[in-house]
Amino acid sequence: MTRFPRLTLSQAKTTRVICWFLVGVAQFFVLFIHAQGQPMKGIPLFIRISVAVLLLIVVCIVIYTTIDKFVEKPDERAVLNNYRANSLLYSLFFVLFGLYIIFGEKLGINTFSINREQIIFLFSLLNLAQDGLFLFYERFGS
Amino acid sequence: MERNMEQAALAEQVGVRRETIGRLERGLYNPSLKLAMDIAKVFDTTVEEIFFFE
Repeated sequence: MTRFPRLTLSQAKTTRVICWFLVGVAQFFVLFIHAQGQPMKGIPLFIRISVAVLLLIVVCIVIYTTIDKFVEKPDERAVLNNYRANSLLYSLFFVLFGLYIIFGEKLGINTFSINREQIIFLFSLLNLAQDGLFLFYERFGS
Repeated sequence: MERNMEQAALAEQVGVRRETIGRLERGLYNPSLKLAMDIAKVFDTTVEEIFFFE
């Protein structure tokens, strides 16, 4: 008997959506709201510690919901919804790259570079989208 | 309901999630042939007795 609860697939995905949303919000704050290069400047210590603890909890939850032992095994419908979510995301990236190829030069964006902080933000968005789309297909994909 | 079996019990027997059985009952999901046959086997009947096109 495991000491930790075994989550249903929907519960695990919903939890992950919340976690990735929090990571995305935190990274968005660092990238676009607060002082560039000095994200912690001027923020009270107790808030810094609270945010750090929250993000640590988020990481633990994401790892927990990834381990097969603690999450319900996917069935054929879950596999299908996963395929649909990944397919839609691939199509979205395909379109975005296509738009960049067509309009990038006209907009003066010849070089497209992403730094580490932006990668973290995009990574959280990607996972948020993947799990969110899965839940969408679970609920509305008939 | 006719066979007095809960969704969770049927789901466990055929190896799918309870939500999948719920969607099947409401006609919101088309099962694979294997799943349809597994469900028919649980109820000791044929696929045609349980699933039909409307």
